[in-house]
Amino acid sequence: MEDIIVCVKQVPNTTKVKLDPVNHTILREGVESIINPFDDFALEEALFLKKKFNLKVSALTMGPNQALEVLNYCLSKGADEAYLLTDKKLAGSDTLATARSLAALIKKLGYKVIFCGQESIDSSTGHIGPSIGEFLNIPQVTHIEKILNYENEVVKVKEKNEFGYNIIKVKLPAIFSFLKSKKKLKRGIYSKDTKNIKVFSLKDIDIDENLVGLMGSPTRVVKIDVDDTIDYFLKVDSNLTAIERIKIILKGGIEEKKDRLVYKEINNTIISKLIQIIK
Amino acid sequence: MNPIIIDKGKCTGCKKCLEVCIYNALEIIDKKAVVNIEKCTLCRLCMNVCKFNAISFFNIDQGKEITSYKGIWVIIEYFNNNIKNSFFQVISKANELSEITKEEITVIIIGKGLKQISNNFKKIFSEYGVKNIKLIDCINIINFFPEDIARIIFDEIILYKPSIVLFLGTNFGRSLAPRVASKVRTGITADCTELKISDDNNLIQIRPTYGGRIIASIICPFYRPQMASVRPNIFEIKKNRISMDKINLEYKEVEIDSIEKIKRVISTLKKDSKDISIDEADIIFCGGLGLGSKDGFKMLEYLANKVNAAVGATRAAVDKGWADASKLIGQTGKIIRPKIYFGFGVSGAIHHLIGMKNSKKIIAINKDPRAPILKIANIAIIGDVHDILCRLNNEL
Repeated sequence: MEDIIVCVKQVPNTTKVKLDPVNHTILREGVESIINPFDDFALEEALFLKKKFNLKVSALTMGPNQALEVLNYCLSKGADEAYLLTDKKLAGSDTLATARSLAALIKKLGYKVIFCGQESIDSSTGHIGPSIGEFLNIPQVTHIEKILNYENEVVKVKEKNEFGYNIIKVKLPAIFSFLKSKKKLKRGIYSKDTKNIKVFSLKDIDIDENLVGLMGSPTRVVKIDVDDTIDYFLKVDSNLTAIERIKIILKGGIEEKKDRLVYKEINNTIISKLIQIIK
Repeated sequence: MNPIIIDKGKCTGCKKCLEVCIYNALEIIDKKAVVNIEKCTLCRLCMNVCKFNAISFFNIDQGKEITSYKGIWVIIEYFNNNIKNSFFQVISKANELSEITKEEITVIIIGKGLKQISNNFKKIFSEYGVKNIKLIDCINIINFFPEDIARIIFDEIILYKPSIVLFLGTNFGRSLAPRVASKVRTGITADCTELKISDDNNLIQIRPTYGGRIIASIICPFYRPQMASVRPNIFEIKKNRISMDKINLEYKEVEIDSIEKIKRVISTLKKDSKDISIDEADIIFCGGLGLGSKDGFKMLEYLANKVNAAVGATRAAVDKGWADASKLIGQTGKIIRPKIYFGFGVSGAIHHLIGMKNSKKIIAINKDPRAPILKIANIAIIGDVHDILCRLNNEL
């Protein structure tokens, strides 16, 4: 039986992802892999509870062998155990198949509290928490800012919503998805060390292999495009003369509104016009 | 075994399928196309381009009877006695899809105490061409939790088999949609910014990933319903009035064994009521680095309160700590569509412009005449931000 299981994901540092200008594919080479920042906050909350209540914290990830780097990161920050679920047949899993696989392993390990990040910075779906919750048939709380209390098998959390906050009490077992907060994170160390990682493959968990990986994933990515919104702003009409093109580029490449009103100083006419618009 | 089957008698080796496969899963061996099982993702793009009908698909999950699923559903939250404006954006998009698929739209309204006001819903939705309204009155629920609502929607899906189910990407919708999809064991795509229908009647769900740098098109070819959550304020609201007596309204009382036994909201902290959300506001006052300080931002907030405008901020202002991240407008923050946008000391970095370019009227004040935002503004004022704030304050 695990006290707290933290689900983590290894992600490319998306701020540094580059695209192949010809094929429009993602250039992964040379892009560093990091722990998904949302998961790092979830881990931090788990380690805070570990200290306070003397609980055992385990980190869990699914992915290729190299994903053990994030598990070592979690161990270096103070996690007690690290589990890697890896199998060739898991490749191509969408969020449904991923949650199904993770839930199967969590079931095998025994669970009480499951933590995860609200979303990952690469795919940003926010599906995994609720989906694992559904597969295990346990309550979920998402968009959590922080844990407020943990006693007598009841967890109290602060959940952010569009209107403000809810303080929610939930009886365990349950799954919690954490937002990033302003809290300063302790840094961990990534390493390729294998000795403290417990590795599981598909045959170790109780699941039909047709329900995982590509075969078990209902969704298919059929096309990848580069976002052209930025290009739209920077587009310069090729029919223009060189001088005009240079002029536009110097202005930041933005297409000017044709019928705009420009005021070069602030006077009472403008103020009364603005007041009229506001009212 | 690979469910993609190539009929060697029909295949002419024209290589059309090779060109379209983004996974390089096809090759020509002895002048016939062959699928590489390791690489194929069963996306069926090759099937669609083959002019000779040489490629067919063995359905792995025939029990799902895809064709028996019909209709487009939009799930509507009616939790605080109102419907967020953005839900009508989803309905407008659903209308576009329904014109192509020729399937009817049903709005599923989840709320409490709906019986007395059922005619109001008829009136509201007649403006948007919705022919079917289903009111689900959760009579014994105190708080709306995704776990409970997922069970209710699941029961409806199993009974009525819609082909498409759309959610608005509110915090609640984003927590509910994956819960429902996992119960039904079908596919779900998050935070879509565009929806289309493919030639073979699949819902193409388009969404940004990798921090918005990449746009992925996703389909759910062998499972139904096809489910997606939609990003607020991307789609335009289009009215499409129909007569109220053309509307089918179904009322359903639901009493469920709620999760409230083990999960409870013990208190709620509401933001200042004056603090209007930038998602829904008609007027937005956005502050940028030009405001100079936290005090400058406070002045903007003070003024916004006076005229019921919502306050937004640029990335630079948020990073300085002048405004909360929830106020961020732009590619990594909120996408807005207000009637009037005011930019006070906003320079107009590309990532901000992406978030506000759809505003109906743009008014920008900046002391730098070269500030990009002045170029896309309807009214561009070159001048001191503090001067204009003070003068507006005197007049308002």
